[in-house]
Amino acid sequence: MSMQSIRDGAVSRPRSPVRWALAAALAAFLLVYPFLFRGFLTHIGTLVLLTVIGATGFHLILRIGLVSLGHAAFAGVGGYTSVLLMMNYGLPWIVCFIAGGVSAALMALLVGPVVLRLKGVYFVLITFTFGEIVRLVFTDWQSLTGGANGISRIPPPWPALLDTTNYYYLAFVAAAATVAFSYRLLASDFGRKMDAIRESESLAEANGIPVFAVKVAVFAIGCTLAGLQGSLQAHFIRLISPVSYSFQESLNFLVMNVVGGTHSLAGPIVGAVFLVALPESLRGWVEYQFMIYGIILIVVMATLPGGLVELWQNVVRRIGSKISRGDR
Amino acid sequence: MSAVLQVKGLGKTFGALRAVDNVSFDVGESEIVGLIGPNGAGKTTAVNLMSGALKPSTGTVHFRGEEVTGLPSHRLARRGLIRTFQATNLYPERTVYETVYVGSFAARKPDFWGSLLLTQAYRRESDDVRDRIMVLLDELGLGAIAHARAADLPYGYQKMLGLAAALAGEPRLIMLDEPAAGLSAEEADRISGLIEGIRNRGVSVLVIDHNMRFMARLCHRMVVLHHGTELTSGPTAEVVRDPRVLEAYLGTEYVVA
Repeated sequence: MSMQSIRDGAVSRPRSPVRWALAAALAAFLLVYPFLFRGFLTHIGTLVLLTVIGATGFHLILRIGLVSLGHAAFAGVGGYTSVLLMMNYGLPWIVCFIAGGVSAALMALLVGPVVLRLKGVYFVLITFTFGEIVRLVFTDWQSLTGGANGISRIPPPWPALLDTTNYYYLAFVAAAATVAFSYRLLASDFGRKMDAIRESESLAEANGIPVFAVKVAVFAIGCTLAGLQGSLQAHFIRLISPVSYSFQESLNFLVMNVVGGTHSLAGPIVGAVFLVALPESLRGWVEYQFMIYGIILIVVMATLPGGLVELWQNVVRRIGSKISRGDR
Repeated sequence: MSAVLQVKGLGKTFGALRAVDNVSFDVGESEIVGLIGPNGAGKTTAVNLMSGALKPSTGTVHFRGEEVTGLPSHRLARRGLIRTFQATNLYPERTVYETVYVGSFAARKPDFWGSLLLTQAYRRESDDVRDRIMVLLDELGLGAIAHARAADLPYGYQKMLGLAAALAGEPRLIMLDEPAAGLSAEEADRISGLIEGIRNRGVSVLVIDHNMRFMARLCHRMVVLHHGTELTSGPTAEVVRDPRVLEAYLGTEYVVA
């Protein structure tokens, strides 16, 4: 490699046209998806897109080296806030949607400065505990939340969105915006600070990065995305209850990231497809769900530390090296 | 000569242990001061106290005329007081270039929205930053391996990378915690030369090491720690002949001609 090419590549590696073509093909496929797969499959597609939003939020927190097992609780805060504002006060959906994100963000800014003082397994445990407390509040504050039965007959954002295909496109826009924002965030200087913090907090501090403040900010951003997903999902399924925001749901976000890949933003997207579409398609196997998850997790962690994204990268690399060998 | 760093009565206790006790000294403009002492003398604890990694139990630290006692590391780094680490402390998965790029954050505040949206102004600025970093990497002999992962580098290069990242933050005072530890004699000489070069650019240097030969050649003045207290301090030529210093170091191969 010449010195010049090292210099040019130093700041941003050139984006291969193949990558753009793939992204465009994926976008095109997602846009025509409801026409290719009607009915129930559009319903699942919508759920996948909505899940991508929360899973991406989880991923951002993971990228500063933290696993939050309270993630679903923030989706719950967003969901309940949005639904209650709409049903009790008749506010327009867009206000409720924004309030869903803001409420999750405020909760994160309240809880974050406390829980982010802990690291590693202690952070996992305290976020797990926090998530359970929130779930208990949802269950026990019956006058407001409807208790364990939750709230049903939630109105859609607009009457037109009773149609699943229309909701699919709303979910598509929201998921695309989330992924685009997160992609740029991770590639920006702020993303470099996140990488630095994950890899050495003490050096990051010595390099002038306010580690704690960055952690709080990332935690709030990740939880905001969970809250927005909570709002969108509540008005789509039109039923919420504490079960939707339990520890298992938080664990699902973790499994999505591990299965998809923890080093790349593609990870939570691939993982969400896998973990939402698979159980929905295998409804008859519900009792074996967690067993199947367990087996998949063990296999992926043992053979593909970078998740399914790594599998894909390996395939691309092999094809690439075959082509270049053919050229010679 | 005005002092860049003034340390007065610095102390730190961990329970009943006095790791550092009543240490006072100054570092002047463009001066290389050595902090020496046998293993366990409290050198690294002193660095942690001055650089904000630990809060002192007693004493004050002034940097460029302002009191900075107990300020967190990142605030001190942004004011121009930057430290390196004794053990290899790098971002293992980052490349050489990326590491030094992160190091430059101590000297500048990147525009968050500009960087997120890749505005023209931000692109222009990052071209400048890239050029400056490549110059620095070439000076330190790291230019050809700008894309190597930090974890894959040989030890000597890792030490050099730690130094490069600190320098990218444009320090006014750099604290080097055992910059030559584990290096060969030639590599240590090279580090010596680099430290003199850093000083010649107007940066003050505080070096921590227990290798007397390396330190005696490099430092203008020395502060000797022993069991957490200040044994003596003064110009290098006097310190290395001080009988108390010889006593503290007895049994090691340091004897300086």
